[in-house]
Amino acid sequence: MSDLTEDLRGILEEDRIASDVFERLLYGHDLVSLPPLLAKVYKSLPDVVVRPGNAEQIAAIVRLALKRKTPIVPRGSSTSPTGGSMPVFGGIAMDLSGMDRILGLDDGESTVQVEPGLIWEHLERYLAGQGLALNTYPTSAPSSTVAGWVAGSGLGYGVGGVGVGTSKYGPIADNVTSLQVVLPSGETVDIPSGDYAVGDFIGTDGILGIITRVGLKVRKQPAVVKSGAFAFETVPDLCHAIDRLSQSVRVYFSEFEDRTLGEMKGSADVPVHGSGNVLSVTLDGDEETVSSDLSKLHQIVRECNGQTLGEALGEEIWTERFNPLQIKRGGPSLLSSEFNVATARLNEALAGLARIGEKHRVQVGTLGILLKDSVNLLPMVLNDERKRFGYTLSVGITKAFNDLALELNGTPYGVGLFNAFYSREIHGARLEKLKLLKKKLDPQNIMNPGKSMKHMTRYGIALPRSLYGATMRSFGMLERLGVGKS
Amino acid sequence: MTEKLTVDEFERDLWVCAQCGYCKAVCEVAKEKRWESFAPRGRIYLLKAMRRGEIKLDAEQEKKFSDHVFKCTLCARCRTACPVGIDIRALQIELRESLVSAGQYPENLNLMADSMKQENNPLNYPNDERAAFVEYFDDPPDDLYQKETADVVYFVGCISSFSPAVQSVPEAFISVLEKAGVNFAIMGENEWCCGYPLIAAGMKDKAEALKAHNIERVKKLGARTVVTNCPSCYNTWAFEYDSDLEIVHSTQYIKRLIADKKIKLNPLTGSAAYHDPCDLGRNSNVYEEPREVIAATGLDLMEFPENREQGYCCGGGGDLEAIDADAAHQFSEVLAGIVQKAGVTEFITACQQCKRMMLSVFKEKEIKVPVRDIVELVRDAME
Repeated sequence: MSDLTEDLRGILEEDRIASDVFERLLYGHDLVSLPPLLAKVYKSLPDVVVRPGNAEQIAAIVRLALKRKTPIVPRGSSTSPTGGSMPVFGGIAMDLSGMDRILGLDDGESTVQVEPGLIWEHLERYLAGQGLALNTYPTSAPSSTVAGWVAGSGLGYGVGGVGVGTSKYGPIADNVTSLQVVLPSGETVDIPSGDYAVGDFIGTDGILGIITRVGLKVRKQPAVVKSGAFAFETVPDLCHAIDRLSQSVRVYFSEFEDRTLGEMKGSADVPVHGSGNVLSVTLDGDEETVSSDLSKLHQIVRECNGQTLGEALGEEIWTERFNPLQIKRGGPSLLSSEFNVATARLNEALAGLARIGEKHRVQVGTLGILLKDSVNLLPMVLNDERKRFGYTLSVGITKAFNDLALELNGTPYGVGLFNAFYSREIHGARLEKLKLLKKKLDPQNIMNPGKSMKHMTRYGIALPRSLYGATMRSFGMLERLGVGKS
Repeated sequence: MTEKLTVDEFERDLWVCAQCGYCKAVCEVAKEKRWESFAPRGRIYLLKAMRRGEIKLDAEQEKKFSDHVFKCTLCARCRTACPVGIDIRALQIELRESLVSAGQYPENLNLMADSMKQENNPLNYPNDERAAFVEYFDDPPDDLYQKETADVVYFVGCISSFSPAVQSVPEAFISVLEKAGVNFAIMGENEWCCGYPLIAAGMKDKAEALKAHNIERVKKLGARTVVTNCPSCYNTWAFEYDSDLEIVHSTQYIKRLIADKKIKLNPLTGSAAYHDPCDLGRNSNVYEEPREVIAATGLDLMEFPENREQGYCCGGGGDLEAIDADAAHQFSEVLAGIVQKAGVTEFITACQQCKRMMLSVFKEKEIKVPVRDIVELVRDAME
């Protein structure tokens, strides 16, 4: 067969193709630092990296990949920790971050059309200049791309990611009005169409096609945005306040961090916001609504034995909403597993995380964000991957977090590759539809194969969930024996 | 070279890096070149991969890696974006030092280093002509401001001294100092480059002689204060020199002169946007004094959409102009585009190099926006 890179030269300019291992290495990972032995079960190094500039080039690359039966792994800024943008079988890594134009506002300035690689924060800044705002965007907005988040599986197929604004305006699925997608056949479709709904292509981890344009709902900038911060001595009081808040106030954004995370930050020399369990709340809307919501909020805080830390600190936390990873300075490595549970079960979740910490003899600090009637939790444990044996063994703690989520009828957040053990729980009943569409649209399985449905390895063998914890222990032992040392 | 490529101060940071890409999103080079290998996070990942034994660079890759490390203005925009607090600028400089030790660095830097050795400036001008610009003043004093003793040394800097396009900056500053009655001197041929270009090139050892000479000459004049209009000289004197001298940037000094009522400003009308020079703002944390001085002239201060810690880079720093003039020019083109889009009526900065870069790109693109350094603005308000 002809050379893949050579064939790509027929479609793309030279500076849009990289086949040097120096560059390819940078497209074979996401936020997660895999223990070296585990990394060997995936062919994460792509054979070639491409940076297409338009939908026509993408369609041509897809047709080429189809002819050659070569996998395509689309990616934006690769800011997810689920392995969704990491190749499992090598192939073509397709970097879409260069397609980042804002195509324009339409429908009386109620929607905006953008290219897939546009960075969320750049879009929000552009909209602010027009007196407009996004409904929701991810907490990785300074680098994550629009289509990356639309494709990311967050709360599952057809729902997708949650972030800033989700508590008020819903997850990303509620805020996408149209998509243009290059299907695995190479055909380009504008959605909604007779055959497909927008939701069919949200939260898929990119296994059904490549998003080449996104239409998003936008709103007028709110007249008032106000933040506040509050501290709670006990976790039950914090949870009680969050539960009541979610029932009586339409919060724009609220995040909380438990006492342990505060302590971890203190030791890591990262700015700490107050002591205790700290809740921050941001409200938006007209003067009257915000003022009425504020009094409700203060009443809840008082009745839940909370202490007001002030507006200034609230604003400080609000401006730092994009930095959940700052604790990593204390690591240098961070082990985490994001999950979602009903607000009513938050207290059990935080108690469970504390128990996991005790059992593993580590500090588990938790950051959470409030959604409509659930919370998204990010328990974090500091570690040091330079100590390979200990790190490999410790990675198993992420399974304990996920098990806890399932125990509480919650779900791990995002499927991708690493959470594909939980595809049934995360996608729910919609998994069947995803499987059907995958079979129909991508019979050759070229589009981001190995993701979102089963946790595949380079050998074409799916890893069963039962192996998750056990695998880490065995890899840990092998590291101790010195196997896999370079 | 792979084994030798150390970043002693930052070895742990290679593992701290979260690979979030916030640095890539703000880096002008990464925005232009697009590939991950041009982004700070990409370089950090490669270094980490070398440590993990995942890659060993061959000669060609070493050269490519080096090219990328030197394709940077050290503007430090990436550092302010980094959520895990990695001083990426300092890491870049250490990496350059490492590459220089390994002999893998741009050839052009040798020209600069040779010129430093021969002429004590990076531009290869005869250093005894450093104060020649004074001779073109309307009525220059006999001593050409080079005195036996002085309270304050005005450290002019290489670009201000030798580049005709921006010699109006030291001329204006001298005029301000004179009118304020400051007992100051310039050092003429006894002023040697502050050493910034060598430090930025990863050749800090070669800067030692320059640093020692400059401190000695200032002390010889009995001066206690060094004032300069060049942000890179200011940054170098303030953070790289080890002396008990007071180091002040021209904007800080002028603010003091205004407060002490040594100079009086007639109000100007109109509006202007202030551009934060990287070495003054992000790298030296001087943001407010320039704005306060502009406000004191009565001009309406307009802010760029991104300013202070998030300010743009003109492309003139980090030796990039010497290494790859086209790449440096691309920075100023981006900034020129922002100037036009924002409807800026006058471009004010506090750096002769920013002024030089912008004058050049405005001329090329026929952008009719005047460019003034704050010292010129103050001089004009005094007249």
